[in-house]
Amino acid sequence: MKRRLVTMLCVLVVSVCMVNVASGFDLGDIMIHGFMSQGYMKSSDNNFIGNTEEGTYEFHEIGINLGVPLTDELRFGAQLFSRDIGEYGNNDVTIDWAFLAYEWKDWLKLRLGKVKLPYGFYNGKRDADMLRTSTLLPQSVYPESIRDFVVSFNGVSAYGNLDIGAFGDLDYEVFMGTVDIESDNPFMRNLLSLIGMGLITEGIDPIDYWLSVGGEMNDLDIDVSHFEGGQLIWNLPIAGLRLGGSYLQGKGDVTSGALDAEISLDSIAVLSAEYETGPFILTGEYLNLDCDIGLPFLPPYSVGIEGWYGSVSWQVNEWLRLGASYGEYYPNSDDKDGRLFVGAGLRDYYAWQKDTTLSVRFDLNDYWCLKMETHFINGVAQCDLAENPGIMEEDWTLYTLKTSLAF
Amino acid sequence: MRMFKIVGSLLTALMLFSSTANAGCLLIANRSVTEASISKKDVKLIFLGKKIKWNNGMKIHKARLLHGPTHEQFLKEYIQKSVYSYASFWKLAIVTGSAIPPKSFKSEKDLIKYIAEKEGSVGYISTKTPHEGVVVLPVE
Repeated sequence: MKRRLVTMLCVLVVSVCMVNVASGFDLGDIMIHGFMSQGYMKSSDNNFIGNTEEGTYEFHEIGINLGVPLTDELRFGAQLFSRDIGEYGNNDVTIDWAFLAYEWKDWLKLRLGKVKLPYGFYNGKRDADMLRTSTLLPQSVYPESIRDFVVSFNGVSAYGNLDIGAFGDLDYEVFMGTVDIESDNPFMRNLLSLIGMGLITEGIDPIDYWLSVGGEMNDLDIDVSHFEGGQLIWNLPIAGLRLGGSYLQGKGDVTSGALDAEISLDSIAVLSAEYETGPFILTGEYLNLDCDIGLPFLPPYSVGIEGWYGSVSWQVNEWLRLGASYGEYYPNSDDKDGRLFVGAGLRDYYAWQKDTTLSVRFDLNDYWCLKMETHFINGVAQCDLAENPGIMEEDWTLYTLKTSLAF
Repeated sequence: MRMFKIVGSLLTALMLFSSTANAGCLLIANRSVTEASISKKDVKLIFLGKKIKWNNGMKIHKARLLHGPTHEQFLKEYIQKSVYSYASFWKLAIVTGSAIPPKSFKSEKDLIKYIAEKEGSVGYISTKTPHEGVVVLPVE
Protein backbone atom coordinates (compact mmCIF):
# COMPACT_ATOMS: atom_id res chain seq x y z
CA MET A 1 0.00 0.00 0.00
CA LYS A 2 2.90 2.31 0.78
CA ARG A 3 4.26 1.61 -2.70
CA ARG A 4 1.01 2.77 -4.20
CA LEU A 5 1.13 5.93 -2.11
CA VAL A 6 4.69 6.62 -3.21
CA THR A 7 3.65 6.14 -6.86
CA MET A 8 0.79 8.55 -6.37
CA LEU A 9 3.07 11.03 -4.66
CA CYS A 10 5.56 10.82 -7.54
CA VAL A 11 2.80 11.41 -10.08
CA LEU A 12 1.70 14.46 -8.12
CA VAL A 13 5.20 15.89 -7.72
CA VAL A 14 5.99 15.37 -11.41
CA SER A 15 2.68 17.00 -12.27
CA VAL A 16 3.48 20.00 -10.10
CA CYS A 17 6.93 20.33 -11.65
CA MET A 18 5.69 20.02 -15.21
CA VAL A 19 2.80 22.44 -15.19
CA ASN A 20 1.77 25.84 -14.05
CA VAL A 21 1.05 24.80 -10.49
CA ALA A 22 -1.63 27.39 -9.91
CA SER A 23 -3.92 26.10 -12.61
CA GLY A 24 -3.13 22.41 -12.99
CA PHE A 25 -3.01 20.46 -16.24
CA ASP A 26 -5.28 21.84 -18.89
CA LEU A 27 -5.02 19.61 -21.95
CA GLY A 28 -7.66 21.31 -24.05
CA ASP A 29 -10.89 20.40 -22.32
CA ILE A 30 -9.33 17.67 -20.15
CA MET A 31 -8.39 18.84 -16.67
CA ILE A 32 -6.04 17.30 -14.13
CA HIS A 33 -5.70 18.85 -10.69
CA GLY A 34 -4.33 17.74 -7.35
CA PHE A 35 -3.56 18.65 -3.79
CA MET A 36 -1.45 17.48 -0.88
CA SER A 37 -0.93 18.51 2.71
CA GLN A 38 1.21 17.58 5.70
CA GLY A 39 0.46 18.53 9.27
CA TYR A 40 1.47 18.00 12.88
CA MET A 41 -0.83 17.65 15.90
CA LYS A 42 0.04 17.93 19.57
CA SER A 43 -2.26 17.97 22.58
CA SER A 44 -1.56 19.02 26.16
CA ASP A 45 -3.51 15.97 27.41
CA ASN A 46 -5.66 13.19 25.92
CA ASN A 47 -5.20 11.53 22.55
CA PHE A 48 -7.41 12.91 19.81
CA ILE A 49 -7.59 11.09 16.44
CA GLY A 50 -4.15 9.58 17.00
CA ASN A 51 -1.27 9.81 19.39
CA THR A 52 -1.46 13.58 19.86
CA GLU A 53 -0.30 13.59 23.46
CA GLU A 54 3.19 12.70 22.22
CA GLY A 55 2.69 14.64 18.99
CA THR A 56 1.98 13.09 15.62
CA TYR A 57 2.80 13.67 11.96
CA GLU A 58 0.01 11.26 10.97
CA PHE A 59 -1.93 14.15 9.55
CA HIS A 60 -1.71 14.30 5.77
CA GLU A 61 -3.75 13.98 2.59
CA ILE A 62 -3.01 13.66 -1.08
CA GLY A 63 -5.42 13.63 -4.01
CA ILE A 64 -5.37 13.84 -7.78
CA ASN A 65 -8.40 14.27 -10.00
CA LEU A 66 -9.35 14.15 -13.64
CA GLY A 67 -12.23 15.77 -15.53
CA VAL A 68 -13.07 14.77 -19.10
CA PRO A 69 -15.97 16.23 -21.12
CA LEU A 70 -17.28 13.45 -23.38
CA THR A 71 -19.97 15.47 -25.18
CA ASP A 72 -21.62 18.86 -24.54
CA GLU A 73 -23.87 17.21 -21.97
CA LEU A 74 -21.89 14.24 -20.70
CA ARG A 75 -18.68 14.29 -18.68
CA PHE A 76 -16.59 11.91 -16.62
CA GLY A 77 -14.65 12.71 -13.49
CA ALA A 78 -12.68 10.78 -10.87
CA GLN A 79 -10.41 11.45 -7.91
CA LEU A 80 -7.85 9.19 -6.29
CA PHE A 81 -7.30 9.99 -2.64
CA SER A 82 -5.10 8.85 0.20
CA ARG A 83 -4.81 10.12 3.76
CA ASP A 84 -3.44 9.31 7.15
CA ILE A 85 -4.96 10.98 10.16
CA GLY A 86 -4.32 9.01 13.31
CA GLU A 87 -5.99 5.64 12.99
CA TYR A 88 -7.94 6.74 9.89
CA GLY A 89 -6.85 6.21 6.31
CA ASN A 90 -3.37 4.72 6.84
CA ASN A 91 -2.29 5.93 3.39
CA ASP A 92 -4.59 3.51 1.58
CA VAL A 93 -5.32 4.83 -1.91
CA THR A 94 -9.06 4.97 -2.51
CA ILE A 95 -11.38 6.17 -5.25
CA ASP A 96 -12.80 9.23 -3.54
CA TRP A 97 -15.34 9.84 -6.29
CA ALA A 98 -15.80 8.64 -9.86
CA PHE A 99 -18.93 9.34 -11.85
CA LEU A 100 -20.58 10.15 -15.14
CA ALA A 101 -22.51 13.42 -15.11
CA TYR A 102 -25.28 14.14 -17.57
CA GLU A 103 -26.04 17.87 -17.64
CA TRP A 104 -29.38 18.13 -19.40
CA LYS A 105 -30.83 21.44 -18.17
CA ASP A 106 -29.92 24.08 -15.60
CA TRP A 107 -32.58 22.59 -13.32
CA LEU A 108 -31.87 18.91 -13.96
CA LYS A 109 -28.50 17.19 -14.05
CA LEU A 110 -27.66 13.60 -13.11
CA ARG A 111 -24.64 11.84 -11.64
CA LEU A 112 -24.10 8.11 -11.68
CA GLY A 113 -21.30 6.32 -9.84
CA LYS A 114 -19.44 7.15 -6.64
CA VAL A 115 -20.52 10.66 -5.71
CA LYS A 116 -19.64 13.09 -2.91
CA LEU A 117 -22.43 13.13 -0.34
CA PRO A 118 -24.36 16.39 0.11
CA TYR A 119 -23.92 16.89 3.86
CA GLY A 120 -23.74 20.42 5.31
CA PHE A 121 -22.05 23.24 3.43
CA TYR A 122 -18.48 21.99 3.83
CA ASN A 123 -18.44 18.20 3.49
CA GLY A 124 -16.68 18.65 0.14
CA LYS A 125 -13.89 20.59 1.88
CA ARG A 126 -13.19 17.78 4.35
CA ASP A 127 -10.16 16.45 2.55
CA ALA A 128 -9.02 19.57 0.73
CA ASP A 129 -7.24 21.53 3.41
CA MET A 130 -6.33 24.33 0.98
CA LEU A 131 -9.97 25.41 0.77
CA ARG A 132 -10.53 26.49 4.35
CA THR A 133 -9.07 28.73 7.02
CA SER A 134 -8.97 26.04 9.71
CA THR A 135 -6.85 22.89 9.71
CA LEU A 136 -9.71 20.76 11.05
CA LEU A 137 -13.34 21.24 10.04
CA PRO A 138 -15.54 21.96 13.08
CA GLN A 139 -15.68 18.53 14.70
CA SER A 140 -19.06 19.20 16.29
CA VAL A 141 -20.77 18.88 12.87
CA TYR A 142 -18.08 17.11 10.82
CA PRO A 143 -16.78 14.49 13.29
CA GLU A 144 -13.98 12.31 11.93
CA SER A 145 -15.74 9.34 13.58
CA ILE A 146 -18.51 9.32 10.94
CA ARG A 147 -16.46 10.64 7.99
CA ASP A 148 -16.29 7.37 6.09
CA PHE A 149 -20.05 7.02 6.35
CA VAL A 150 -20.88 10.48 5.01
CA VAL A 151 -18.05 11.24 2.59
CA SER A 152 -19.51 9.66 -0.57
CA PHE A 153 -22.05 7.09 -1.74
CA ASN A 154 -22.47 4.68 -4.64
CA GLY A 155 -25.61 5.39 -6.58
CA VAL A 156 -27.37 8.12 -8.49
CA SER A 157 -28.15 11.74 -7.76
CA ALA A 158 -30.23 14.43 -9.44
CA TYR A 159 -29.29 18.04 -8.91
CA GLY A 160 -29.73 21.49 -10.36
CA ASN A 161 -30.55 25.12 -9.86
CA LEU A 162 -34.03 26.65 -9.76
CA ASP A 163 -34.60 30.36 -10.35
CA ILE A 164 -37.24 31.66 -7.94
CA GLY A 165 -37.33 35.22 -9.25
CA ALA A 166 -37.16 37.97 -6.66
CA PHE A 167 -36.57 35.39 -3.91
CA GLY A 168 -33.17 34.36 -5.30
CA ASP A 169 -32.41 30.81 -6.44
CA LEU A 170 -32.32 27.28 -5.08
CA ASP A 171 -29.63 24.60 -5.42
CA TYR A 172 -30.98 21.11 -4.82
CA GLU A 173 -29.66 17.56 -4.85
CA VAL A 174 -31.48 14.30 -4.14
CA PHE A 175 -29.76 10.93 -4.13
CA MET A 176 -30.19 7.23 -3.49
CA GLY A 177 -27.66 4.44 -3.22
CA THR A 178 -25.53 2.66 -0.70
CA VAL A 179 -22.28 3.02 1.23
CA ASP A 180 -19.36 0.59 1.33
CA ILE A 181 -17.69 0.31 4.72
CA GLU A 182 -14.84 -2.19 5.10
CA SER A 183 -14.96 -4.28 8.26
CA ASP A 184 -11.51 -2.98 9.35
CA ASN A 185 -12.57 0.65 9.00
CA PRO A 186 -12.33 2.53 12.35
CA PHE A 187 -15.90 3.65 11.71
CA MET A 188 -16.96 0.14 12.73
CA ARG A 189 -15.40 0.60 16.17
CA ASN A 190 -17.19 3.93 16.46
CA LEU A 191 -20.42 2.17 15.56
CA LEU A 192 -19.74 -0.39 18.28
CA SER A 193 -19.21 2.47 20.76
CA LEU A 194 -22.51 3.98 19.64
CA ILE A 195 -24.29 0.67 20.24
CA GLY A 196 -22.50 0.29 23.58
CA MET A 197 -23.51 3.76 24.66
CA GLY A 198 -27.12 2.93 23.89
CA LEU A 199 -26.87 -0.24 26.01
CA ILE A 200 -25.41 1.77 28.90
CA THR A 201 -28.42 4.07 28.59
CA GLU A 202 -30.63 1.00 29.06
CA GLY A 203 -28.64 0.00 32.15
CA ILE A 204 -27.00 -2.97 30.40
CA ASP A 205 -23.30 -3.81 30.48
CA PRO A 206 -22.44 -3.69 26.75
CA ILE A 207 -19.59 -6.23 26.77
CA ASP A 208 -21.50 -8.84 28.83
CA TYR A 209 -24.51 -8.44 26.58
CA TRP A 210 -22.51 -8.56 23.33
CA LEU A 211 -20.79 -11.80 24.28
CA SER A 212 -24.00 -13.39 25.66
CA VAL A 213 -25.79 -13.02 22.29
CA GLY A 214 -22.89 -14.49 20.29
CA GLY A 215 -21.16 -11.26 19.29
CA GLU A 216 -17.38 -11.03 18.96
CA MET A 217 -15.43 -7.97 20.04
CA ASN A 218 -13.09 -7.85 17.04
CA ASP A 219 -15.47 -8.94 14.33
CA LEU A 220 -18.02 -6.47 13.10
CA ASP A 221 -19.45 -5.96 9.64
CA ILE A 222 -22.15 -3.74 8.23
CA ASP A 223 -24.21 -4.14 5.10
CA VAL A 224 -26.03 -0.94 4.17
CA SER A 225 -29.10 -2.01 2.19
CA HIS A 226 -30.16 1.50 1.20
CA PHE A 227 -29.16 5.08 1.85
CA GLU A 228 -30.95 8.16 0.51
CA GLY A 229 -31.40 11.85 1.13
CA GLY A 230 -30.93 15.29 -0.27
CA GLN A 231 -29.91 18.86 0.22
CA LEU A 232 -31.59 22.18 -0.47
CA ILE A 233 -29.69 25.47 -0.47
CA TRP A 234 -31.51 28.77 -0.73
CA ASN A 235 -29.34 31.58 -2.14
CA LEU A 236 -31.21 34.61 -0.93
CA PRO A 237 -31.44 37.88 -2.88
CA ILE A 238 -29.36 39.43 -0.09
CA ALA A 239 -25.81 39.26 -1.49
CA GLY A 240 -23.66 36.69 0.28
CA LEU A 241 -26.42 35.03 2.32
CA ARG A 242 -27.37 31.38 1.91
CA LEU A 243 -29.34 28.93 4.03
CA GLY A 244 -29.33 25.16 3.65
CA GLY A 245 -30.65 21.89 4.93
CA SER A 246 -29.35 18.34 4.37
CA TYR A 247 -31.17 15.15 5.25
CA LEU A 248 -29.98 11.54 5.02
CA GLN A 249 -31.53 8.24 6.06
CA GLY A 250 -30.83 4.56 5.56
CA LYS A 251 -30.96 1.01 6.84
CA GLY A 252 -28.38 -1.69 7.39
CA ASP A 253 -27.56 -5.01 9.04
CA VAL A 254 -24.74 -5.33 11.54
CA THR A 255 -23.23 -8.78 11.99
CA SER A 256 -20.69 -9.91 14.55
CA GLY A 257 -20.02 -13.62 15.07
CA ALA A 258 -23.47 -15.18 15.51
CA LEU A 259 -25.07 -11.81 16.23
CA ASP A 260 -27.28 -10.12 13.64
CA ALA A 261 -28.62 -6.66 14.48
CA GLU A 262 -30.64 -4.22 12.45
CA ILE A 263 -29.69 -0.56 12.42
CA SER A 264 -32.06 2.02 11.09
CA LEU A 265 -30.54 5.41 10.51
CA ASP A 266 -33.67 7.48 11.02
CA SER A 267 -32.02 10.73 10.08
CA ILE A 268 -28.86 12.73 9.80
CA ALA A 269 -30.04 16.32 9.53
CA VAL A 270 -27.75 19.33 9.09
CA LEU A 271 -29.00 22.91 9.05
CA SER A 272 -26.57 25.51 7.68
CA ALA A 273 -26.34 29.28 7.34
CA GLU A 274 -23.55 31.34 5.79
CA TYR A 275 -23.16 35.07 5.28
CA GLU A 276 -20.26 36.48 3.31
CA THR A 277 -19.71 40.21 3.44
CA GLY A 278 -16.50 41.78 2.22
CA PRO A 279 -13.55 39.97 3.80
CA PHE A 280 -15.74 38.23 6.42
CA ILE A 281 -17.52 34.87 6.27
CA LEU A 282 -19.89 34.03 9.13
CA THR A 283 -21.14 30.46 9.41
CA GLY A 284 -23.39 28.45 11.70
CA GLU A 285 -24.34 24.77 11.36
CA TYR A 286 -26.35 22.30 13.45
CA LEU A 287 -26.21 18.48 13.31
CA ASN A 288 -28.75 16.00 14.60
CA LEU A 289 -28.27 12.24 14.10
CA ASP A 290 -30.95 9.75 15.18
CA CYS A 291 -30.38 6.03 14.97
CA ASP A 292 -32.64 3.08 15.96
CA ILE A 293 -30.90 -0.15 16.91
CA GLY A 294 -32.67 -3.53 17.06
CA LEU A 295 -30.72 -6.14 19.04
CA PRO A 296 -31.75 -9.71 19.93
CA PHE A 297 -33.79 -10.06 23.15
CA LEU A 298 -34.04 -6.30 23.62
CA PRO A 299 -36.70 -3.78 22.64
CA PRO A 300 -35.45 -1.41 19.90
CA TYR A 301 -33.73 1.64 21.35
CA SER A 302 -32.51 4.94 19.98
CA VAL A 303 -29.26 6.83 20.17
CA GLY A 304 -28.79 10.40 19.09
CA ILE A 305 -25.85 12.68 18.36
CA GLU A 306 -26.15 16.45 18.46
CA GLY A 307 -23.66 19.17 17.58
CA TRP A 308 -23.44 22.77 16.46
CA TYR A 309 -20.90 25.51 15.84
CA GLY A 310 -20.55 29.13 14.88
CA SER A 311 -17.49 30.51 13.10
CA VAL A 312 -16.04 33.64 11.57
CA SER A 313 -13.28 33.93 8.98
CA TRP A 314 -11.54 37.22 8.13
CA GLN A 315 -9.40 37.75 5.03
CA VAL A 316 -7.13 40.44 6.46
CA ASN A 317 -5.12 40.91 3.26
CA GLU A 318 -3.87 38.87 0.29
CA TRP A 319 -1.69 36.59 2.41
CA LEU A 320 -3.26 36.53 5.88
CA ARG A 321 -6.53 35.04 7.04
CA LEU A 322 -7.79 34.66 10.60
CA GLY A 323 -10.52 32.37 11.90
CA ALA A 324 -12.36 31.68 15.14
CA SER A 325 -15.07 29.20 16.03
CA TYR A 326 -16.95 27.72 18.94
CA GLY A 327 -18.75 24.39 18.84
CA GLU A 328 -20.42 21.82 21.10
CA TYR A 329 -20.82 18.10 20.49
CA TYR A 330 -22.92 15.55 22.41
CA PRO A 331 -22.69 11.83 21.48
CA ASN A 332 -25.93 11.20 23.39
CA SER A 333 -28.36 14.08 23.08
CA ASP A 334 -30.45 12.65 25.94
CA ASP A 335 -27.51 12.85 28.32
CA LYS A 336 -25.97 16.28 27.85
CA ASP A 337 -25.05 16.58 31.55
CA GLY A 338 -23.28 13.20 31.65
CA ARG A 339 -25.27 11.50 34.43
CA LEU A 340 -25.23 8.15 32.55
CA PHE A 341 -21.45 8.32 32.26
CA VAL A 342 -21.16 8.98 35.98
CA GLY A 343 -23.45 5.97 36.52
CA ALA A 344 -21.08 3.87 34.38
CA GLY A 345 -18.09 4.87 36.53
CA LEU A 346 -16.78 7.58 34.20
CA ARG A 347 -16.81 11.38 34.52
CA ASP A 348 -19.66 13.62 33.44
CA TYR A 349 -17.44 15.50 30.93
CA TYR A 350 -17.24 12.33 28.79
CA ALA A 351 -20.71 13.38 27.60
CA TRP A 352 -19.65 16.52 25.74
CA GLN A 353 -16.88 18.26 23.85
CA LYS A 354 -16.85 22.07 23.73
CA ASP A 355 -14.22 23.49 21.42
CA THR A 356 -13.05 27.10 21.04
CA THR A 357 -10.72 27.37 18.05
CA LEU A 358 -8.41 30.11 16.81
CA SER A 359 -6.80 29.76 13.36
CA VAL A 360 -4.20 31.65 11.36
CA ARG A 361 -3.56 31.03 7.67
CA PHE A 362 -0.71 32.42 5.57
CA ASP A 363 -1.07 32.22 1.78
CA LEU A 364 2.50 31.98 0.55
CA ASN A 365 1.25 32.14 -3.05
CA ASP A 366 -1.83 31.09 -5.06
CA TYR A 367 -1.19 27.40 -4.51
CA TRP A 368 0.67 27.04 -1.23
CA CYS A 369 -0.44 27.89 2.31
CA LEU A 370 0.65 27.43 5.91
CA LYS A 371 -1.78 27.21 8.84
CA MET A 372 -1.60 27.21 12.62
CA GLU A 373 -4.47 26.46 14.94
CA THR A 374 -5.19 26.13 18.66
CA HIS A 375 -8.22 24.35 20.13
CA PHE A 376 -9.20 25.11 23.73
CA ILE A 377 -11.33 22.10 24.63
CA ASN A 378 -13.57 21.20 27.54
CA GLY A 379 -14.82 17.59 27.63
CA VAL A 380 -13.64 14.44 25.88
CA ALA A 381 -16.65 13.09 23.97
CA GLN A 382 -14.66 12.76 20.73
CA CYS A 383 -11.60 11.12 22.28
CA ASP A 384 -11.47 7.38 21.65
CA LEU A 385 -11.69 5.35 24.88
CA ALA A 386 -9.31 2.74 23.42
CA GLU A 387 -6.64 5.40 22.78
CA ASN A 388 -7.14 6.88 26.25
CA PRO A 389 -7.25 3.94 28.68
CA GLY A 390 -6.97 6.02 31.87
CA ILE A 391 -9.20 8.80 33.11
CA MET A 392 -8.91 11.69 30.67
CA GLU A 393 -8.40 15.36 31.53
CA GLU A 394 -11.47 17.59 31.33
CA ASP A 395 -9.73 20.75 30.02
CA TRP A 396 -7.08 20.33 27.38
CA THR A 397 -5.54 22.04 24.38
CA LEU A 398 -4.85 20.79 20.87
CA TYR A 399 -2.29 22.50 18.61
CA THR A 400 -2.11 21.89 14.87
CA LEU A 401 0.29 23.03 12.17
CA LYS A 402 -0.28 22.25 8.51
CA THR A 403 0.99 23.17 5.08
CA SER A 404 -0.93 22.50 1.86
CA LEU A 405 -0.34 22.64 -1.84
CA ALA A 406 -2.95 22.60 -4.59
CA PHE A 407 -2.68 22.89 -8.36
CA MET B 1 -23.54 82.16 -8.43
CA ARG B 2 -19.89 81.15 -8.08
CA MET B 3 -20.83 78.67 -5.34
CA PHE B 4 -23.42 77.07 -7.69
CA LYS B 5 -20.74 76.67 -10.38
CA ILE B 6 -18.36 74.98 -7.91
CA VAL B 7 -21.08 72.61 -6.61
CA GLY B 8 -22.19 71.94 -10.20
CA SER B 9 -18.63 71.10 -11.25
CA LEU B 10 -18.16 68.81 -8.24
CA LEU B 11 -21.43 66.97 -8.97
CA THR B 12 -20.47 66.57 -12.64
CA ALA B 13 -17.05 65.23 -11.64
CA LEU B 14 -18.68 62.83 -9.17
CA MET B 15 -21.13 61.58 -11.82
CA LEU B 16 -18.33 61.08 -14.31
CA PHE B 17 -16.29 59.22 -11.71
CA SER B 18 -19.28 57.01 -10.82
CA SER B 19 -20.06 56.18 -14.43
CA THR B 20 -16.41 55.31 -15.06
CA ALA B 21 -16.37 53.03 -12.01
CA ASN B 22 -19.58 51.26 -13.11
CA ALA B 23 -18.41 50.88 -16.67
CA GLY B 24 -15.27 49.00 -15.64
CA CYS B 25 -16.03 45.72 -17.38
CA LEU B 26 -17.84 44.56 -20.44
CA LEU B 27 -19.50 41.20 -21.06
CA ILE B 28 -18.54 39.73 -24.43
CA ALA B 29 -19.72 36.59 -26.20
CA ASN B 30 -19.06 34.50 -29.28
CA ARG B 31 -21.03 35.54 -32.37
CA SER B 32 -23.06 32.30 -32.11
CA VAL B 33 -24.76 33.59 -28.94
CA THR B 34 -28.17 34.91 -29.98
CA GLU B 35 -29.25 36.54 -26.70
CA ALA B 36 -29.93 40.25 -27.20
CA SER B 37 -29.17 40.93 -23.55
CA ILE B 38 -28.69 39.10 -20.26
CA SER B 39 -29.84 39.70 -16.69
CA LYS B 40 -27.37 40.42 -13.89
CA LYS B 41 -28.66 37.34 -12.08
CA ASP B 42 -27.95 35.11 -15.09
CA VAL B 43 -24.40 36.48 -15.30
CA LYS B 44 -23.90 35.35 -11.69
CA LEU B 45 -25.45 31.93 -12.31
CA ILE B 46 -23.30 31.40 -15.42
CA PHE B 47 -20.03 32.25 -13.69
CA LEU B 48 -20.94 30.05 -10.71
CA GLY B 49 -21.57 27.13 -13.08
CA LYS B 50 -25.29 26.91 -12.32
CA LYS B 51 -26.62 28.13 -15.66
CA ILE B 52 -25.09 25.87 -18.29
CA LYS B 53 -27.11 26.55 -21.45
CA TRP B 54 -28.20 29.56 -23.48
CA ASN B 55 -31.91 30.00 -24.22
CA ASN B 56 -31.50 28.25 -27.60
CA GLY B 57 -30.05 25.15 -25.87
CA MET B 58 -26.41 25.80 -26.83
CA LYS B 59 -23.86 24.96 -24.14
CA ILE B 60 -22.31 27.92 -22.33
CA HIS B 61 -18.49 27.99 -22.22
CA LYS B 62 -17.43 30.55 -19.64
CA ALA B 63 -14.06 32.30 -19.62
CA ARG B 64 -12.52 34.30 -16.78
CA LEU B 65 -9.47 36.40 -16.09
CA LEU B 66 -7.04 35.09 -13.47
CA HIS B 67 -6.11 38.41 -11.86
CA GLY B 68 -6.33 42.15 -12.22
CA PRO B 69 -8.65 45.10 -11.68
CA THR B 70 -11.14 44.02 -14.38
CA HIS B 71 -11.51 40.62 -12.69
CA GLU B 72 -11.97 42.27 -9.28
CA GLN B 73 -14.51 44.73 -10.68
CA PHE B 74 -16.44 41.90 -12.36
CA LEU B 75 -16.59 39.82 -9.17
CA LYS B 76 -17.67 42.79 -7.10
CA GLU B 77 -20.35 43.94 -9.53
CA TYR B 78 -21.83 40.63 -10.68
CA ILE B 79 -20.81 37.75 -8.42
CA GLN B 80 -20.61 39.54 -5.05
CA LYS B 81 -17.63 37.47 -4.01
CA SER B 82 -14.07 38.40 -3.14
CA VAL B 83 -11.21 37.23 -5.38
CA TYR B 84 -10.22 34.65 -2.76
CA SER B 85 -13.78 33.45 -2.24
CA TYR B 86 -14.40 33.02 -5.98
CA ALA B 87 -11.15 31.10 -6.45
CA SER B 88 -12.05 28.92 -3.47
CA PHE B 89 -15.53 28.27 -4.91
CA TRP B 90 -14.02 26.80 -8.08
CA LYS B 91 -11.30 24.86 -6.27
CA LEU B 92 -14.08 23.19 -4.28
CA ALA B 93 -15.94 22.38 -7.51
CA ILE B 94 -12.73 20.78 -8.82
CA VAL B 95 -12.04 18.59 -5.76
CA THR B 96 -15.66 17.40 -5.62
CA GLY B 97 -16.19 17.20 -9.40
CA SER B 98 -19.41 19.17 -9.03
CA ALA B 99 -18.97 21.50 -12.01
CA ILE B 100 -16.55 22.49 -14.77
CA PRO B 101 -14.64 25.67 -13.89
CA PRO B 102 -14.37 28.58 -16.32
CA LYS B 103 -11.45 28.62 -18.72
CA SER B 104 -8.84 30.93 -17.14
CA PHE B 105 -6.75 33.52 -18.98
CA LYS B 106 -3.92 35.73 -17.80
CA SER B 107 -4.50 38.36 -20.49
CA GLU B 108 -7.61 39.94 -22.00
CA LYS B 109 -6.12 39.47 -25.46
CA ASP B 110 -6.05 35.68 -25.02
CA LEU B 111 -9.54 35.69 -23.54
CA ILE B 112 -10.94 37.65 -26.52
CA LYS B 113 -9.23 35.23 -28.93
CA TYR B 114 -10.88 32.29 -27.13
CA ILE B 115 -14.30 33.95 -27.13
CA ALA B 116 -13.99 34.75 -30.84
CA GLU B 117 -13.22 31.11 -31.65
CA LYS B 118 -15.31 29.08 -29.19
CA GLU B 119 -18.99 28.65 -29.96
CA GLY B 120 -21.29 29.51 -27.05
CA SER B 121 -18.55 31.20 -25.05
CA VAL B 122 -18.87 34.22 -22.79
CA GLY B 123 -16.36 36.28 -20.81
CA TYR B 124 -15.55 39.75 -19.58
CA ILE B 125 -12.96 42.41 -20.39
CA SER B 126 -12.25 46.03 -19.57
CA THR B 127 -14.42 48.56 -21.40
CA LYS B 128 -11.21 50.14 -22.71
CA THR B 129 -9.95 46.97 -24.42
CA PRO B 130 -10.54 46.69 -28.19
CA HIS B 131 -12.71 43.65 -28.91
CA GLU B 132 -12.98 42.69 -32.54
CA GLY B 133 -14.56 39.39 -33.58
CA VAL B 134 -16.88 39.13 -30.55
CA VAL B 135 -20.27 40.58 -29.62
CA VAL B 136 -20.99 42.73 -26.60
CA LEU B 137 -23.71 41.27 -24.39
CA PRO B 138 -25.63 44.10 -22.69
CA VAL B 139 -26.52 43.41 -19.05
CA GLU B 140 -30.03 44.46 -17.99
